[in-house]
Amino acid sequence: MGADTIASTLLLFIAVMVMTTATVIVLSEYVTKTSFAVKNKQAHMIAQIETNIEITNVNCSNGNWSRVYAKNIGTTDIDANYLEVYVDNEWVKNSSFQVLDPNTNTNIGLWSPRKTVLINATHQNLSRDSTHQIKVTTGNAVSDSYLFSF
Amino acid sequence: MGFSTIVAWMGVFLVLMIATVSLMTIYNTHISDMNEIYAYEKEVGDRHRTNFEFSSTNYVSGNLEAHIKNSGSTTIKLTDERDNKCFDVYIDGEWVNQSVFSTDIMNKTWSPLLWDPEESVNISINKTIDAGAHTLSVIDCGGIKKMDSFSV
Repeated sequence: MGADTIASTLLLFIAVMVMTTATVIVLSEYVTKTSFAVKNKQAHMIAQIETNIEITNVNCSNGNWSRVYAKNIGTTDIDANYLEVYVDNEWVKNSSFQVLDPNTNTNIGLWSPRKTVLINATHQNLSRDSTHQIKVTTGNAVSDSYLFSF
Repeated sequence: MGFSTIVAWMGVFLVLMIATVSLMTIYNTHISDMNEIYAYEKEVGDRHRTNFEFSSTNYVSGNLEAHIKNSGSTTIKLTDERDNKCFDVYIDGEWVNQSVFSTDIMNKTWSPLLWDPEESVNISINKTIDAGAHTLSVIDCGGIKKMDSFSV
């Protein structure tokens, strides 16, 4: 192999390396952002799969106040601060309900798997002669509904 | 071996290394995601295999006793991962504080601390109940609810 051939191969190698580096630099940001978005979406979906709740009992005696018992039947902790309550599709203000431990009546922050919580909710006045629906939704949009009358 | 051949082999080696590392990263993420989904599927499967039935419910001077049989095909948990009671009991729809009832596995044929299929549990509730007809609801740790009626 002559010196000419070595020089031209070397030049070709350098040119390919420069082009590859440039392409990698241009594409890396795009790839990083895309993989970050995919990872985020995946984590969100897994969190949603692992979250599951069930309303097990509702006591409503005077029409505008309900005691809702709900159980965490998923496999992950649920942040009780992000719970939402709807009564007959009407939003119940966050200040109008409390999430408590039913044994001690103390507020809970983190709702662990297999644990039941008591949600004391003050809501619009409900009529006695019809069926009503209460819905509890978690922070990642997993929900359960319960039909009741009193 | 010429210089160009060495360069070519180095290029091939580099490409193979990058491809292997990328594949391993993707595979690792996939395996970890699959593990989480598998745990969830197991939970759902256990829920479908869980069933229990009331055999008897009797109230005698301030103490309500219910015998419940595991009629499903899986072991039913009586406590959660932190060893806290996760069975819920309601009398006439009213929550019964978990400190006033106890659970005891009666016919321990397999593991003594687990409520296996075909075994029964005695739930003893220390509570004064007025005369009349009442209902007792029991909800297991996975959210399966069963109800029985009794009279005092």
